[in-house]
Formats: sequence, structure tokens, C-alpha cells
Amino acid sequence: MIKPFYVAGSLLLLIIFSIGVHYISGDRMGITDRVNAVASMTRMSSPSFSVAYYEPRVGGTKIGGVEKAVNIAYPEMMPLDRMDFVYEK
Amino acid sequence: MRNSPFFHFLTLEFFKERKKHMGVIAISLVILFLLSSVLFISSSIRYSLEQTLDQEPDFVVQRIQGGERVSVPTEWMDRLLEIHGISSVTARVYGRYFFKSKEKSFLIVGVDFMDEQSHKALRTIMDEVDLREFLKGDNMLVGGGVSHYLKSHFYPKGYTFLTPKGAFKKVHLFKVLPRESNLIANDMIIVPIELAQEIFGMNEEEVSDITFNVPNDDEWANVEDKISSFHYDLRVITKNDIKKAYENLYNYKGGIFLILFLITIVTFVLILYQRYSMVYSSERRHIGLLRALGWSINDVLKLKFFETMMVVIVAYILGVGLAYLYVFVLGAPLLREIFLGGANLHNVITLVPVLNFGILSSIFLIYAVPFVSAVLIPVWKIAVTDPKEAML
Repeated sequence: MIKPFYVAGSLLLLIIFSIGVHYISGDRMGITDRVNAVASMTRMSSPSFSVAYYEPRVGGTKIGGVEKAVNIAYPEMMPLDRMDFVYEK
Repeated sequence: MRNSPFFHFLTLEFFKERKKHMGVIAISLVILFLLSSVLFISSSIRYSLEQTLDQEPDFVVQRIQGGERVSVPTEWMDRLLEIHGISSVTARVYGRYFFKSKEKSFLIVGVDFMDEQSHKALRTIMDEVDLREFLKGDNMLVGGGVSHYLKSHFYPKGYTFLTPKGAFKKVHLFKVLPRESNLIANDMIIVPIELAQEIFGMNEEEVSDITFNVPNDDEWANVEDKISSFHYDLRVITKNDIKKAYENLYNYKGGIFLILFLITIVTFVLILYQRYSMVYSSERRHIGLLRALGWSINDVLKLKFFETMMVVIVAYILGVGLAYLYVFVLGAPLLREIFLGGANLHNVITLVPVLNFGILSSIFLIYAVPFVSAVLIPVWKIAVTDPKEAML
């Protein structure tokens, strides 16, 4: 095997190693603990997606499959039981 | 392997033909980067939400009128407590507060801070909160998105809510919840439960819904049946319903991207296949030359297989590595907006690094198998022809 191959291989291994180090040393528990604490305090775990007023927000009340959300702005539209795919900014 | 002439020739040829490989690696890298980024974001959000599901109560009881949720009388709580096997019966008061002029809305949640669970959770979120000071007046804790919105609309210290009874209620902004909790608290306003009832125009005997736990899982179906028979306008939601809803949400989003990825990969493979099966003079001559020098069909296929695998591995590591950097180090700017939305308050979340090896291996297989076959099939076709004919 030629020398440039070893150099390129080492660079790729360095990338894998860096990902491993970042993954292991990342503060995963700190973030999840805080999110869990808010869920525990409010007893709600629905995601805070930036969705329009008439779309589902609160988990367990209207989120997909549990109840059809009715679009109050356009009652003739089909009910939305899911988040928009591409949101309008 | 280190001193093998075959691998020496392979690496030598790989670097000699680097310009040809660079183009394929660049296209593969873009495809793999986009796919991995989407799957990383979706698995990270899903992981965080699944963790929070453990904090969710097992059951939620709501009252439905005309298909919409309405307030529940607190006396229902006493009836629930009479059922054997039910514990931690708690009332929830929440709802959206809508700013008609700006078309934006907040989620107001009432919390009983005297409850031990809420008290402990508040300490975990913010150590420095003085609960006595907080409960002295009309104060609120707000999420990052709400705080930003209020400040940009000249309400830096608090907000005056208009209740359904026509009265104004001034609430002081006490603290902002940490950014790490933005996934569920970005548009949230947390107030004492009595204040939330006042803002929503409820009386003390009304709550939004009731939650409770059933520690014995085998009793869930039985308890659900018993409660459903209490009233005709009652709806019982279990934790499993919510779990399914989250799974559907992310399968849907991940699925859309998977379809787009499949279309892209099929196009990519077709281009590669066409390129290799066309009368590609230098490639044909090269294979013919190797065959004329005494290489067997097996040797030629082995050489091309290893060459392609090197391209695949380099593109895979670079694509996935870049996606990791983009999502978990840079926070996935632009792409996260597709997942978080932009119709209400802008949200910036901290994505928890999650590497799902099932997903990583699926990406590799979906990408590598068609790629390798798109190269090897035409190469085999050339290799089986007579070397003289191939070199023409």
C-alpha cells in the first residue's frame, strides 16, 4: 500500500475518533434532565413546535391519531391530524 | 496485506484515478450528508421526547363537547380516587393564549407549586428560583421563545392578559426557563394554577383535564373501561396513545426524506450504471489490458470491488462525519426549521447527540449495495468479453 493511502486512512480514522470523543463527552444528561424536569412539573411532554394556533400543540389532546384537529380558519378543509411538512416562515 | 502486490496496485490506481473518484465521492457526500442530517435531527428529537414520556401521567381524562375539549369539574377527581389501583390523581390547567393582532399564541400552564413533584422539578430546572418570592405576587416563568417575543414587543418586565370576563390581569415576568428546555417549553408560560384559572376565566371548581397513574400495567385496560363508563362525554387518553402519536409524527417526517433519498439514490445509480455500461473506452481498455496480462475475471472483479468499496467508505465517513458536525455541533441551522416550524414563535433547541447504529448501518446498506452493483455488473460484462475485443 502506498504512503498517501495511509495518510488518507489516518485522516478518516481521526474523523471517526473525533465523533466518538464528542459523543462520549457530550452533556446529554444535563439537557434531558432539564427537559424532563419541565415535563415533570407541568405533566406535559408535548413538543413546542412552532405551529399555527389551530394546529395541535398539546400532547394527548389533539396530537396525531388521538383527535382530529379542526382548522378553524378554513372549516371546509380536511382536518389536520399532523404537523405541516414544510412550515411557512 | 501490507506488502501484497494486489493492494499496492489497488491503492496506486486509486490515487492515480483520484480525479475520477473525486466527482463520485462529492455527489455521494452531498446525498449522504443530507440523509444523515435529517435522520440525526429526527432521532435526536425523538430520543428527547421519549425520555419525557416517562414523566407523563399514565392516563388523562378529558371532557368532550361537540368534539372539542371543555373544562372538567374537580369533583371527578374524588370519583377517580375511589377506584382501586389508581394513584397520583392531579388536575391540569392549561390552554393557549392567542394574540389576534400578531397571529401568535402561547401555551399557559398552571402548576401547583405546593406539590412535591413540581417543587423538586423546579429546583432541577433552576436552582436560583426563590419560590416564596415567586408565589408572593402574580409572577410567571416563561420559555425562551415567549421571552424573546415579549421583549421584542416592548413587554420586558411582564404582560397584561385580557381574561374572558373582560378584566385585565398584569403578570410579572419572574424568570426565563433555560434554553435546554426549549424543546417543550419554548412557547410556554408557567404560572400558579389559580392564576391560570383566572386568565382562562375558569372558576375554582374547574380544571382543563385530570391525570392519574395506574402502577400495575395489567390493570390499565380494566381501569380505562371503568372510567369510560362514568360519563358519556368523557375521553380517556393513555400514555401509549401519545407515544404512538410521536412515533407517527417522526416516521412521517423521516419517511418523506427517505422517499426523497431513494429517488436521489436511484437516479445516482442509474447515472453510474449508464456511465459504466456505455462504451467507456479507457475503462474498457483498462480491463482488457488486465485480462491480456493474465488477470482472471475474478481478479478484475476483486480489484473493481475493492476500488468501489474504498469510494463508498470514504464518502460514507465524510458524509456522516459532516452531518454529525452540522447537526450536533452547529445545531443544524436551516434544516431544523423544517422540523420545528416557523408559523408561531421561533424556536432554537439544543439537539442531544444520538447515534442510532441501526440507522447508520441502514444508510450504509441503502447507499453501498446499489452503488457497488451499479459498478460491478457492467465491469463483469466487459471482463467476460475477449480482451482483444474489449481493447478495441
